[in-house]
Amino acid sequence: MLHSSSLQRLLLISKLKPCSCSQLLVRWLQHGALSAVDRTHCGGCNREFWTFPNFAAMKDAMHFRTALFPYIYAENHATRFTGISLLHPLYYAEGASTIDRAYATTTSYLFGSSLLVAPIVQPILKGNFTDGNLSETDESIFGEEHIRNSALLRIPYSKSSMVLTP
Amino acid sequence: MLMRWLCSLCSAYARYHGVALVLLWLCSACAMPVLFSPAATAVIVMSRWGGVGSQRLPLGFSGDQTTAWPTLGFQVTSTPTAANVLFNSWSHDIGGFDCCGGEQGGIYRKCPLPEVAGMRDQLFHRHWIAGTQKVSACADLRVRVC
Repeated sequence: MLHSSSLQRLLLISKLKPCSCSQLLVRWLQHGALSAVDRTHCGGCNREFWTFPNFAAMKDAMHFRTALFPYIYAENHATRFTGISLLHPLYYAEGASTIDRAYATTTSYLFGSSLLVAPIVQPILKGNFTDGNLSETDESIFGEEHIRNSALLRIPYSKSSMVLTP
Repeated sequence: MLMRWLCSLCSAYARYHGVALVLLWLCSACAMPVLFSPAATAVIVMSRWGGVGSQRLPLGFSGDQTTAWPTLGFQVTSTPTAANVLFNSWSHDIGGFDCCGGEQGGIYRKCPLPEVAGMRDQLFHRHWIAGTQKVSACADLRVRVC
């Protein structure tokens, strides 16, 4: 039971495990890069990305979003007429043969009409990083496999019937 | 581009603010003529999410989340799901807001000692009101997040 004495607070702090915040921030930025509004913010903490150890991966994510601006713009324009939000669940996909799976998959979403995104939402232990392509197939980004095999630089997504031009 | 935050106006804990709430509302009310003047060509009004049906625009923000993996996972699920209620553009604090005490190398701010246990959390600062159960739940969260 927690009491408000300084000693107890000290004990609480000592229980804190070392966190993988730098990796977390990269993953958060990667999700932000493929979301409607990409807005970093924090309560008085450092957001100078260029001072962070994983800046390369962060920069990559932000550049990727910038490259996608025409796509994001077009998809937002389409939203005005279709009413379907830029980010929408997998089960919106027409003719989904695996509709149950789409409902069950909670950490993937559709970003516009042509991108399926599966951001990494778990820490990856050191040594598990592998080099990989940015784009993957639909099959490989589902499940645990893509999490284990995703390098820090990688944002798992797949594209269908679309050419991405930077 | 002009951007106006409508913070605390519809949040659950706005009642704690009392007088500050009135001032905030006045501030927002005064800002409106500026926001919608002909000189303002691009305007974003960012409201805090106040529940289904409360949104005036399909654009809003969440804030003050704990910086933790479960928070990111929740956002990845909840943000697209908001399409079901036509809430088009969630704006989250990318990276989280309440840091978990920092990591070696100064990635996040170094939280002063009282703040790690107490942060900005009303529950912690006024735990004699919230009751022991809530306090311990928050304490568990603090321990768990990292």
